[in-house]
Amino acid sequence: MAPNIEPQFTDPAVTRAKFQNQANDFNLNLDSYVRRGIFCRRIEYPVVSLLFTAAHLKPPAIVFAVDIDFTNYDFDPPSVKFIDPNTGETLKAGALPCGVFQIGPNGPMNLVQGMPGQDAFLCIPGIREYHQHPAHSGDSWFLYRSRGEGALPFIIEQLYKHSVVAISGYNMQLNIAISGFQMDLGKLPR
Amino acid sequence: MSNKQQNLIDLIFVINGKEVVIDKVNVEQPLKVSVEKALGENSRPPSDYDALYDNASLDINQSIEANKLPDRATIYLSLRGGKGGS
Repeated sequence: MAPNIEPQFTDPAVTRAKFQNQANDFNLNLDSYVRRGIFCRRIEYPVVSLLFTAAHLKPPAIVFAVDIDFTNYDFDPPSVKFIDPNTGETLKAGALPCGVFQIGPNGPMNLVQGMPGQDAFLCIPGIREYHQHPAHSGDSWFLYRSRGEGALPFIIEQLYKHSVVAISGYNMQLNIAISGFQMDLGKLPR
Repeated sequence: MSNKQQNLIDLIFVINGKEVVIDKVNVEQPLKVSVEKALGENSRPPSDYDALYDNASLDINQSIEANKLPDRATIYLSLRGGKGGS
């Protein structure tokens, strides 16, 4: 699991209780999530670690995994980092096999952001990295805090409907090496 | 013969993972009417939500019939995310 770099500055008991509420809600509706291919890797305060799969593909595929970190929740919104589904290591920008896209006026925009060499993160209102980014300093978390954004179901649904839903099949590349010609020997003169 | 009228169906909404069943919905009604019922009185307006059935987006202003929803269709309602990226 990725190290927690956010210092705890709110009452840990309050954050833990709010985290537990989110975790309990998730567990209550586990079947509904699993049916759609959303699996829990681990729930361990302050992180909910989830695996998103494209259950509608044959064979099904792991699309990505995330660590959702509720440190200081809900004074701060949760952090969403993309991780390697097997090792749990945080993925750098550009390392994801699939983006999380929102259709804007200029076409699809990838909601997964990150400078080269830095951690990839989900960049929408309700997510810590969005509100901490200098480009969004005018869009405070406190405008969203009690409205549903930032809650675990909100994050799960955003990740799911902006990526997994749009996956229609595998993208394959074939490298073809030409080793000569096929010949119909019957057409050759004797 | 079924007890249920042919133009009445049940819809299952999943909101934040929780199921809400709206029964005996007239298929000629706009889907928005059922969405409002499923969300309840104190929620944000239906226009703040995306509705998905079978991984396809629904137009809640269209009728249930026009959205081609079968009886006991499971519809996922989720808040629209704000504009992100960049």
